[in-house]
Amino acid sequence: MRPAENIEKLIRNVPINTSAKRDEEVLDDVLNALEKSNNIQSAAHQPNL
Amino acid sequence: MLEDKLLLLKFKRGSPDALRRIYEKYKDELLALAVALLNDRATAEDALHDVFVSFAQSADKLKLSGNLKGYLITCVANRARNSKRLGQQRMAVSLGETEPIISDSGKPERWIISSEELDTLNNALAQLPYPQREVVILHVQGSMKFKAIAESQNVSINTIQSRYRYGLDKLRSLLNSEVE
Repeated sequence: MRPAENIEKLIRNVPINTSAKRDEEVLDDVLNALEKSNNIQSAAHQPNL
Repeated sequence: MLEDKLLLLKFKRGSPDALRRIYEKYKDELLALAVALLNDRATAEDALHDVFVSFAQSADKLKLSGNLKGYLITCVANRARNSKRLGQQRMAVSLGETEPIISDSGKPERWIISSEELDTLNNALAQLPYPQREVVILHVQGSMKFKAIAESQNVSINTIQSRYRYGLDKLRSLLNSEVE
């Protein structure tokens, strides 16, 4: 019988990595989202003159 | 972890470098978790993308001050659950698409896993009822404590522990039957 500990090790060690191309795409979108969020925030903090 | 607290602080102040570092630090673990939950690499990649975009949009509103990794894992699990509910999964692609590798993470217990073993594990995980699969993956792969899983899902810790026990028993039985 396969011990539970072995199954846990098997699950824990599944070798999956993101691809460089996918990383680039995700980071583009993520950093754009952050920039937009930063712009909205800074606009909201502008003083009324 | 001190590094995470600093990263979080910088991220909340709008630092792109901090956000990039957070992504780089956790992307592989989170993707592995999403693939295990969704049984489909493409859907898992979309889930990871969406989680990080939402995370980026929440920089100034984020209340989190504690465990960054746990927070991101919970976000991925919630996103995976929604994806399951909406039936947005594409055709299942085997986990075994990835080449067998040895991680350079330096963990002593790291194993070499063959594509065949990955396929077997993938098939077995896919046969578990989703709530059981989720608990097994979050606890084993995400290193989340039962209490944290219970809180994130708003169910009792006893329920979570039962799901884990049943899930692991079923996995063991499925994997043993593959071997026989």
